[in-house]
Amino acid sequence: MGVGKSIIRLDSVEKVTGKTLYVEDIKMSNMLYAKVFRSPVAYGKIKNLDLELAKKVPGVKGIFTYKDVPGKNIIHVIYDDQIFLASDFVKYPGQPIAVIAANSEEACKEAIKKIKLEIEELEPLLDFEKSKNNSIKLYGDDNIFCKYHIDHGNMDIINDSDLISISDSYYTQHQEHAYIEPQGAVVYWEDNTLTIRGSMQAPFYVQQAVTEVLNMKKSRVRVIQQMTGGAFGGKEDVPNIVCSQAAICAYHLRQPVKIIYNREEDMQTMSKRHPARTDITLWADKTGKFVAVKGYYLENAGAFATLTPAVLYRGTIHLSGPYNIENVDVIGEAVATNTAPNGAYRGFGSPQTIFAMESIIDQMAEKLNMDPADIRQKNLLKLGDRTCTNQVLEDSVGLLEAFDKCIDESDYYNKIKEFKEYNNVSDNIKKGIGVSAVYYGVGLGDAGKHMSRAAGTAKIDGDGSVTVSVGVVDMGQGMRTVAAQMAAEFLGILEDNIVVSQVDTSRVLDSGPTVASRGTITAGWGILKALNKIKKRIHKFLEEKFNEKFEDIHYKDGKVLFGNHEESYFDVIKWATDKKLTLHAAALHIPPECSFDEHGQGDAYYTYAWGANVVETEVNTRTGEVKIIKATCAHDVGKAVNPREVKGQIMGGSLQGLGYGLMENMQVSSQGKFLTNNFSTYTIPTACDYPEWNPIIVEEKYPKGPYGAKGFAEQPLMGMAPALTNSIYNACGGRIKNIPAIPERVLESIRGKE
Amino acid sequence: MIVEFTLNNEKVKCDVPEHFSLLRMIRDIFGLTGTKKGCDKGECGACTVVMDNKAVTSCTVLAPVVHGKEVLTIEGISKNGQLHIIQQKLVEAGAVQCGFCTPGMVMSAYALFIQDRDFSRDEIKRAISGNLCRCTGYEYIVNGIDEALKTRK
Ligand code: FES
Ligand code: FES
Repeated sequence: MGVGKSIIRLDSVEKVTGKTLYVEDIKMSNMLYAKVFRSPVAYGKIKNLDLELAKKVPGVKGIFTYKDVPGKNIIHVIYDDQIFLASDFVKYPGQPIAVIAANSEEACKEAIKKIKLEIEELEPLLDFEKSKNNSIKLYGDDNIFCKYHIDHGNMDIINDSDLISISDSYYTQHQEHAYIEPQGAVVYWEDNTLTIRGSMQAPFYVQQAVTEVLNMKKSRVRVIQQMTGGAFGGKEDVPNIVCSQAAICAYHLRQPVKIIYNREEDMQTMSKRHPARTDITLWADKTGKFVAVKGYYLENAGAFATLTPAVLYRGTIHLSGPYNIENVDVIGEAVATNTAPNGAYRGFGSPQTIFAMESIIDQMAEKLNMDPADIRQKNLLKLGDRTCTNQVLEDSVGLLEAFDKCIDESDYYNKIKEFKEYNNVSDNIKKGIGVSAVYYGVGLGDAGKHMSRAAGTAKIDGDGSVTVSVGVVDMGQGMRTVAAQMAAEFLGILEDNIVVSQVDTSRVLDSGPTVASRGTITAGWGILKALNKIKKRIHKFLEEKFNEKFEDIHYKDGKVLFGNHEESYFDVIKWATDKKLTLHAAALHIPPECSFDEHGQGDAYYTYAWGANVVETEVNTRTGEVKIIKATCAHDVGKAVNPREVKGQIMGGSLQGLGYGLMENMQVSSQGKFLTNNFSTYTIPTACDYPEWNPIIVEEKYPKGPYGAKGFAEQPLMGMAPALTNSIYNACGGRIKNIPAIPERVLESIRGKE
Repeated sequence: MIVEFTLNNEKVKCDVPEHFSLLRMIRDIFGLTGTKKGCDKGECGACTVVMDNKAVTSCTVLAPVVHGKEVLTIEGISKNGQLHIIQQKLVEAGAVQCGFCTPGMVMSAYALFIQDRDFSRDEIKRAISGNLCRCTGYEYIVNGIDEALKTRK
C-alpha cells in the first residue's frame, strides 16, 4: 500500500479481460459515423467544391464545410493559424475540407467519392532547409514560425587558440507515435450539453477548441477523457481537430456522432516528431572540460504552427545537454513546409538536439583521445551549478548517481576492452558500446507557464471511501494508479478505497494538458492539497469532539493517531459524516514560476530529471544490420511512487528511442505525402527487436514534489538514439549523422571512414 | 450470408455481409468489443483471436471463412469471473499499460498455452512478434507469458 510500492495497476484487470471501453467500443442509439474529406494535394487553391451528388448518397445526413462553422474556423493551439475546414487554400496533403456524417461508414466513404473538388495545384515547399525566406510564402514574410536564442556567458572565449573544437551537422527524421489505438471521439448531446468522449491527453484543450469552433459557452461543452490506448504526445493537440470534426456534425444534426480514424489516415494527417537539422560546434580544453557550445537548431514545423513554439523552446534549451558549460550560444528556428503539422512527441523537440550534442561529444572524446564516458563524467552538472539558461540547480540533481550507476551496472569499462579484443579477431560481426547523458526540464516551463496549474477535488463518503478528480489523464502511463497510491498514502488506507475518476471538464478546473511528464506531480499536488483541506476540517472536528488540542494528526495503517488517541480511520469518517462535516474539497496548486528572458536566461523549468544510458550493439559490417543487445538506462525520478511502473516507463520509452535511432523511417514523397503510412512500411520495434533491459531507478528527492516525486517519463526516449549510434561507432567506426541507422547508412558510414 | 460457428464455446449463427471481417463480425454483430482494431490490415495484432486453436488476426479473416470454425476471443477465456492464468500473470508482471494491445497479446499467448509443449523465451517473442505494443518495451509481457506457461504441467 501507498507510495513506493509496486502495487498492481488498478486498471489492469479490466484491460486484460477486454472490458475496458475505448472510444471505438462506445455504441449509442441513433449514432452516426463521420469521415473527413481531405485535400489530395500538398498545396493548392480551392476553386470549387461541389457536394450535390455526395449529399444524395443514401444514408448521408449532412456534409459540413467552413460555411457551416458557427464560430471561428480555426483550431486554436498556440497561434491561431490552423484552419479547421479549408476554405480557400490547402497547405498539406490530407488537410480537412469537409466532414460527412452518415448512418454507416460505407455511406460516408461513398459520399467522399462523390464530392467534386476543383483545385489549382501550386508548387509545394517541401524542403525545410530551403523554407526560410523562400519565394513560396507559407507563413509571414520569411516562413519562420518562431525563434529562440540562448545567449549564456561570453562566446569570445572561442578565440582562445588553446581550445580544441569540432563542428558537425546532424539530421533527424519524422517520427510517428504509433499509438496502437487510432484517434477517435464520440460526441453527443446530454442535458443540452455537447458531450465529447475522446482518446486524448488534454481535455481542456479540446473544450477550448470546440467552444471556439462552435461558438458555445464553455459550460455547455463537456469533455470526458475516454480510456486512451497510448498517446506519447500524439494525442496532445490533434484531438482538438478530431473532436471538432465529430462535434460539428453532432452540433448540427443533434445526434450522436462517432469518428474513428483508420490507420493510414491517422499516419498521413496527424502530428509527428519534427524533422530537424542541428548544426553544432563544441569547444573543450585539453583536459576535456567543455568550454563553449554553439548550436543552430532548425525544425520543420509543417503547414501550421500548432505546438511548434513550445516544442522549439524545449529543443533549444536541451541542446547543450546536462553539462556544466559556461558559454552557450544556441539559436532555434522553426519553419513552415507543405507537410502535415508536426507537434508533440515524447521528448518534445529535444531528442533531435540531444542526438547532435551526444554525438559531437563522442567525436570530441576521440579527438582528445579520451573515453566517451570519462569526458561526460567530467562535465556533468552538479548541485549548485548553472544550466545554459543560468538557472542555479538548487535541489534534486541525481545526475552523477544515475551516470555512475549506469556505467557500473553495464560493466562499461570491461566491455570496452572485451569488445575491442573481440572485434580484433571477429570478421564481420563487431560489438560496440555507447553512452549518453540527458536531462529533462519537468513541466511546461516558461513556454507553457500560463497553463501550469494543478487542480484536484476530493470527496470522502461516509464509509470512508474516497473519490478524487484531477485534471490530468491516464493515457496508459498509469497516472490513475499513481494518484490513488498518493491519496492512499496521505490517508493511511488501502488503494481499494480510492477511486480516481476519469478526467471530466465538468468536475474539475483546467489543469493544463497531460504532457511534459507532469502527470504524477500535477495529480499529486491537486489531490494532496484538496485532501489536506479535508484533513484540516477533521482536525478541528476531533479537537472539538475530544475537547483537547492536538499538535499533529497522523493517518497510518487505517488508523488516525492524535494525542493519546488511536481511532479507526473509518470510525473517524463516520463520526465526521454524522456531524455533517464537509468532507469535500477542491484545490488549485500553482507550481513554482518559470522565466526565460530575451537572452534565453532564467529558470526555464521548475526542476529537472536526469538520466544516463548505455547501449550495446552488434553490427554486421557486411550487411549494415545492427542488433541491439543490451540497454542499461538509469533515471533520477525524485521518488518512484510505483517502482515497477517506473521501470515500465523506462523500458517502453527507451524502446521508442531505439526505434527512432534504428528503424523508424518515415518517407515523404515528392508531393509531401507520407509513403510509409502503415505498420508494414513504417516499422516499429517488435518483441523480437527489444534488447536485454536493465532499467535503474535513482531517487534524489524533489522537495517541492508530492512525496519527493518529479516527472520523467519522456526522458527514457530522449538519449537512446545517440547512445545507439555511439555504440555503432564503437563497434565499426561508422559515424551515423542521419538517423535512423538503417543498413544502407551504416554501410555508407563504414565506407566513409575508409 | 448465413454463417454458423462456435464463438466462445457457444454455437452461434448470424446473417452477415460477405465482405465483413471476423473482427467486424464479433465487434459489430456480437457486440464483443474486447477485440481491438489497431490497423484493420493484419499489421498490428490488436485484433488477434484464436480460431481452431491457432492465433489469427481477425481483421484479415473474412466472415465466410469462419463458417464451421471454433473461435475464441478475449471474452471467452476467463471462467466464472476468474482470470485465466495468462491474464493473471500479465497483470502481476506489470505487462499492461494503455491496454490496447493487451487482448491481442493474451490471445497470442493463449495459442501457445493450449499447445502441449514448452516454449523458450525466444519462441515466446517470436510468437508475439506480430502483436505490436508501443508502451511497454515488451519485457514484462514476455515475463508474464513465460510465467503463465510455466504453470502448465
Ligand atoms: S487490427 Fe487486425 S492486425 Fe491490426
Ligand atoms: S500496452 Fe499500450 S500498446 Fe501495449
